[in-house]
Amino acid sequence: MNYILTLCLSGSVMGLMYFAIKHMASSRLSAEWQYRMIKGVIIFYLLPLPFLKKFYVAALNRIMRKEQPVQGILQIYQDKSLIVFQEGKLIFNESFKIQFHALLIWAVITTCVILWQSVRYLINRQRLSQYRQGIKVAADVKQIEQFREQYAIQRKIEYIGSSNKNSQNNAVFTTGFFRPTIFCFTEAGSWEKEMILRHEIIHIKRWDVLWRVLMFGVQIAHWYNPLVWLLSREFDKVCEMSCDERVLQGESNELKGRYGKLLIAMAMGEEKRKPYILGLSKSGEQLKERIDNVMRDGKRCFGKLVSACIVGAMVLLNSLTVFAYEDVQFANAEKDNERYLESVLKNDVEFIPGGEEEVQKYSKLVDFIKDEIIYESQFTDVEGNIYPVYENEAESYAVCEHNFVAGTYKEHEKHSDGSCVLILYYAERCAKCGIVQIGKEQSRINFQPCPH
Amino acid sequence: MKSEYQISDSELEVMKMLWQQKESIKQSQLFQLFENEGKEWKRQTLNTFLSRLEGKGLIKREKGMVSVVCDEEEYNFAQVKSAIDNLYGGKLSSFIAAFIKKEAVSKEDAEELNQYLKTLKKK
Repeated sequence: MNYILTLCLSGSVMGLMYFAIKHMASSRLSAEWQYRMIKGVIIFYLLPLPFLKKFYVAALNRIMRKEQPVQGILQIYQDKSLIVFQEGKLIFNESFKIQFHALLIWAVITTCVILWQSVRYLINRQRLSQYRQGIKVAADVKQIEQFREQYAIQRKIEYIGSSNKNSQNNAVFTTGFFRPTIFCFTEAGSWEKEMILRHEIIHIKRWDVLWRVLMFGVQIAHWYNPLVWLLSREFDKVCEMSCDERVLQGESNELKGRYGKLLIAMAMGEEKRKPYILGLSKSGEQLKERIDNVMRDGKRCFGKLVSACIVGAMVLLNSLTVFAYEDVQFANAEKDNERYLESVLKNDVEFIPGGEEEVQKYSKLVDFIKDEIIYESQFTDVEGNIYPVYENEAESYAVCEHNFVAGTYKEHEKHSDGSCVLILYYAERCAKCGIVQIGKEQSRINFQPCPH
Repeated sequence: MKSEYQISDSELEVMKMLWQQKESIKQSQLFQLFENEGKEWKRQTLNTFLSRLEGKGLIKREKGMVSVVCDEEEYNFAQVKSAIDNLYGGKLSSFIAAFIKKEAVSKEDAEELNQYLKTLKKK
């Protein structure tokens, strides 16, 4: 479930950046680049990128020349997920179980909604195909073939259309992505029909229907996030605006004006404006924005390089949200160490990643550490003898001809929350005067709670 | 024309026969055509089908002559209209790319937008 929420965070941050950049750039960012940005938002909402976290951490460590952390010992808390391998079985802690159940509920609801909508779509598409033969296919099939060649589209495109004047309302849309079909029920003239078909061909070329379905997937997966619903409307708008830009690339103002009129004619319905609405309706405002984009001078927009840099920077910055991914921890348990296993599943514990050998070594070390702490600061020689170390013993006895014995210096610090930390140092102790020379830190272990 | 017609297979057979004719046909001639095809319908049966089709607004009967109200293409369009409505501007619009939203603006909005377009063209 953490992955789902992190995906939501990634996508939302990218979405907010999109709105911010769009607002700051005003009309200087073309609809085509806005559309690319929104596709990036969709990717961040749907594609988990936890592997990037490791890449960034490794890169940061290299840049900052940070030493590798002390080998082998990490601490996790009870609210982090943990999977323990024991004798070929997987055992989960409470945190993992809760997250897993939440994920299961989310997955079942999401799958049901997607399946239900998909089945409805397929049924309706089947009905359309069933009656295809009865609806005359217009001479526009030739036009579509020309467009296919012009835009180098490999996929076969079906066309179902009618210019029957009794056709109620205009309906022009494309559906399907591997086998796209253009449905065109309109009584538009030849130039208008050409523009309409070119528009639909560009949708097919750019796989816009697939992106639309992915956007729908985002809405289903992150239904609880209001930004997603806002982005869906933005996607629809920008998709059409960018398509208009491609259709009208290099065309004169006069043709752009004709295209604008076509948009208005195709959008017009039978209903009258509601009396309590002053000015354009919401749909009218959206259509006005589309007309503005059609009539806009393309030279006022940022060039390709600037636009690419803006989008690239946005993607790079947003990729840093991968640090929010929380890894599920794994541990191996000794088969007869039931006490350890119970502790691992129910408490905040330390564990080490790695194989059986590391676990065994560490288990012995932990037992050794737990059992052998007598003083807050102590020295343990290689034979296991323990000596207290007091602060005033730091003074050097000048007259002593020291006889140093190797061992380990341990410092035990208890914290107010009941935890403690045990720091081990390489050290030597003079067998004659007892002075301890402390060397490099060997390891540092946190215990929650303090077992000493 | 209705949004969708619910007709039986037999009624559809009658319609298809009528669509094949270029113009109005006598009811008796229609019966003869079905007989030639080997259909074992009685006159009363055909009459029942024609009455139902007339009730549904698909045919017209006048002085023994039968004519279709809508041609085959219109009929097929009516049958798929609900499917089109579901896809285009309906709740399945997530699966399509539409040229324009269905009935997006009122006539008043359209007039205002046309005026706005004229001002943009002048710039």
